[in-house]
Formats: sequence, structure tokens, C-alpha cells
Amino acid sequence: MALLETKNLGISFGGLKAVDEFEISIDNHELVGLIGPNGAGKTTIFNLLTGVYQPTQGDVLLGGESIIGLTPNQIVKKGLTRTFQNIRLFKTLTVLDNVKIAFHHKMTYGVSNSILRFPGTKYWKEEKQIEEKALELLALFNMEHQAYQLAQNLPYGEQRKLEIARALAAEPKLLLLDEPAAGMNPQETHELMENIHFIRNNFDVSILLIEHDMKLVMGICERLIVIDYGMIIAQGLPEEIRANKKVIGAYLGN
Amino acid sequence: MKKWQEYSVTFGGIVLLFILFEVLMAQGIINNYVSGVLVLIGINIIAAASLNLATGYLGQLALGHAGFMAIGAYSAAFVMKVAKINGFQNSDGIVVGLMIVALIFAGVMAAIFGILIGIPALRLRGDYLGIVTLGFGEIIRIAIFNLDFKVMGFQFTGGARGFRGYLGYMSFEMIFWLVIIVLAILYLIIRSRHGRAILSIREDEIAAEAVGVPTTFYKIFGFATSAFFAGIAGGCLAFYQKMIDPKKFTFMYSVEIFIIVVLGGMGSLTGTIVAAIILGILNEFLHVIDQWRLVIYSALLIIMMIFRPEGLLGSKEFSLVGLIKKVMGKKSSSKSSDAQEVK
Repeated sequence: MALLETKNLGISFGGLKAVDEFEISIDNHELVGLIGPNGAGKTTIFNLLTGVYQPTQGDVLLGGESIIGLTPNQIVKKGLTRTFQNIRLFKTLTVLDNVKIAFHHKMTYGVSNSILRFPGTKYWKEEKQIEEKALELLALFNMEHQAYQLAQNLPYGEQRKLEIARALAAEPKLLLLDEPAAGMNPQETHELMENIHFIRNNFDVSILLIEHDMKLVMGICERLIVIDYGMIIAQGLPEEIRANKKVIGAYLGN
Repeated sequence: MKKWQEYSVTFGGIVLLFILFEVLMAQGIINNYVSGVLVLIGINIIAAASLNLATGYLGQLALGHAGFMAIGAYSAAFVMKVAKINGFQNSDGIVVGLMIVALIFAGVMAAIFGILIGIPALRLRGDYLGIVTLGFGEIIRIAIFNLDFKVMGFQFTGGARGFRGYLGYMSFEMIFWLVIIVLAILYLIIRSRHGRAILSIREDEIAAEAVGVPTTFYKIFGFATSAFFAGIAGGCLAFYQKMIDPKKFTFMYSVEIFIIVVLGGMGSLTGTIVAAIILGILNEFLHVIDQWRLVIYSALLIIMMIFRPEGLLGSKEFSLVGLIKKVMGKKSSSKSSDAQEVK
């Protein structure tokens, strides 16, 4: 069974069909790229998958279960997290707190326990556990020395990395990356590629990413989906896509 | 230092402070007038700290705090009026217990209204939320102003004449420990997973939702908790003044509390304490020129906006433990998120 499956997914804003008949299926442990010219509807698709928008037609199945009608935070609990095109960190909180917040739904202690912190209660156990887990995660990304810095003081590339780490903290089965290399210099992009490889090899997660940097896309994606005007125009291996007439037409004009 | 040791040091510091106040009072250095001022400052601390939760930590501009205080004041007074009708007297030992019940009732009533108002209003953001909460605050006040019906043999709420003749009083000792309890609860909530969720909403609501924080729930939770403690502050005010004048809970009163929060620093409970004390003392000197009071407040805010826009303490907390560590030369690298300290 595919991890993520969409069936005839679509949304219209007024009369405009932003996404139409969008059908994909992503298996466990796949790395899929979603590309297309500006305004093709890539981010709209992400918003549909994560519950930010409600589709006007079709269905999204995550692990065989429909996630239509769930709020974004419920979808996160089902195992689908994302990063944003324009970085959205909790800027004035520390790097560690940024990651800790993503563990929120894994914790169970109640408000009364956070007020009455008797020794040995769940509060101490869970707080200790996530502190360790969060530091471990940061260590994987070589960020543990920055754990107590404010997120806004990190360099741009590190902020991107932190956002990905935060998304992974929620322990997703599918990770959506929205233009992770946007605004990065070649050196940073190279590091990012290594990081994405690293995530694939060390976490049990599939990745769907939107990207305009073709070097990155062709370099790491196993499969590509190309959309234009909200419809899929091509799917396949990077080499096939590179030679596809329709794709070249969409990017350069016929 | 272990967590429980830090907590004990802080608690020890608070007890010492209390003893200091008691000694000063026994010596007559703090007379009745001054202790009355201290009680009012304490009430303002509770009100402003609770508003800080909604505005400073949750990041929602709420301008109807006086409304919640009014609900708390009338609810607490209602309980104590019923107690009086049932033959209790202020000299009875049980009245302290009744007052605690009344204050909790006041908090719960205010929280219920907080939830009712929060559900529709928190769909809005920024200035719009400010306007709506302002409106709700006024609705509560005007409703109370015009409400006057007989219940259990007495007039409630007494309308424009005010509500009086209920049991209850407020001493310095009581407000001192109440302030400590309220601040401790707020602090402990903020430094927990719930507090982190609340902070994440202030930072970026969309991102919070995208990492699995149920933002709608936490917005209403934060707003209702804020209203709960505002209700308690209102109850204390009712006990202290021994009569409630509905004209007190105007928009300007909400603004006064808001000014304390802004002056002390959005997101700093200790900053709120400092600002409440400063404004409380200032208030006493400004009684002579009462009509100029708000002008001077505004001037104060403008000066602050120029020189220290983040408020007196910004989002830092003063911590006794942090201070001790600093004095002892151990440069406390802010290792635990609990050990944020003054610069």
C-alpha cells in the first residue's frame, strides 16, 4: 500500500481551478520531487496535503486513511509534516525550544501536572525525555552547540536546517519540503543535498520536495512529478523528465 | 543546582521578603495607608500578570480586561453576600475559607465568559481582536450597570448605585500570598509544554499548527486562563473596597492594566511586578493632579518607546537563582530554559 495517495484531488478558487485531477502515490522511503514553473500550483498542493486548504474535489489518503477535513495539527499527528517556502521559525525562542515544541503532541502530561510538579510525576519524565531527544536530533544536524541560541540569530542556511529538524521532530512518515534551497548559495545548497540524503538514510521517512534548483532536484530525487497550470504534465525518472517535450515546453514556451 | 533546590531558594527569598514586610509593619514604618497602597499594587500585579499571559505570551491584543475583572468582582461579592445573609460575620474564622471559595468562583465565572468571548473573537487578529475585546469589555460593564434584579432577598447587582453589604476584606498578608500563588501558577504554566505551545502561537501561528500544536485550543486556553486570574483580581478588588462601583471597570481601567504590561515588558512576569509597583507609587503622588494622570502615563509610554521599546525587562525574567549564580561567579550559561535572568 502506498504511503500517500491522492485521488482526483483538486481545488478551485472561485472559477479558477488552481489544482485539478492531481493523482500521485508515494511509497515508503521514496524521495520524490515536485517541479513546475512559477504559479503552477506546487505550494497549493502542499497546502491541500497538509490541511491548510480544503480540497473542492477528490481525496487524500495517508496510510490508506482519508485525511480530508482534518485540521493541520491533526494531520501532523497522522505523520505528515512540512517546512515552508519562507522560513517560519519561532524566532525569539531558542533553537532547543523550537524543536521541543514539535514534540508537543507526543507528550501527555496535563495542565495540573505542570502546576503541581511533584517529584516522579509525568512532567519530569517527559520533559527530560524530550530534552534528550531534541538535543540528540540537533546533534545529528551538528547544531547542538547552538541549542541555546535564539533561532533568529542563526545564519540563513542553519535556519533552513533547523526548520527541517523541527519538522522531523514530529516524527513524520512523510516530510514535505517547500523550496528548501531557496535563497541559498551553491555551498549551502550542497550541504542541504547532503542533509537530505542523510535524513533519507537515517530516518524512516519519505520526502516530497518542491524545488527550482534543477541541480538539486536532478541530483537527489528518484522520481519527479511535473505540474503546470495545476495539472500533472509528466512523471518519471529525472532523465526522462529532462528529455520530455512537454516539460521543456512548460518551462520555455512552445 | 537541581530544580528542587532552585525552587527552594526562590521560595526562601519570597519568605524573607514577607518577613521583611512584616517587620516593617510591626515597626510602624509601613502604616495603614501604605499597606493599603500595597494591596492595590498587589491587585494590579495579579490583573496585569494575567493580561500578560494573553498579550505578552499568547500575543493576542486584549483590551477588555476590566470586563473580566468586573465579572470576578460581582461573582465574588455575590458569594459573600449570600454568606452574609446566611448569618456569617467578618470576624468568623470561616470567612477566609469562604473568601477562597468566592475567589475561585470569581475566576471560574470570568473564565467561562473568557471562553464564550474567546471562541468568536480569537478568530480575529491584532487590532481587530483589540477592538472586539474592547467592545466585549464595555458590554459587560454596561450590562452590569443596567442589571438590577432581586435574588435571594437582595438586589443584584445594584445597578449604578453599586453593590455593597457583603462580607470580605483584604489584608496585605492575603494579597501577598495570593500574588505569589498566581505568579507561580502562571510561571509554571508558561514553562511547560502548554506554555511552549502558547509561545509558539505568538511567534508564528501557521508554523505552530504545522508542527502539531492545536492552536485554536491553546488560544482559547490562554485567553480563558488570563480571564480566570483577572476574575480573581476583580474579586480581590471587591473584597478590598467593600463596595463595587461599576463605573470603575471602564475601558480606561483596561488600558491602565495594559500600560503596566507594556511598561514591564510583554512576556515578563517579573517585569509586570516592577511596572505595577512603579505605577502604583506614581499613582499616589498623582492623586493631587488626577486629571493629568493619564497624560503623564502617555508621556511615560512615549519615553519608553523611544529608549526601551521592549519594556523594562523585555521578555527576560529576574531570577533569584540566576542572580546568586552570577554573584558566585559561576557564569550561568543559560543552560536550562528556566534560568533566564536579568542582563
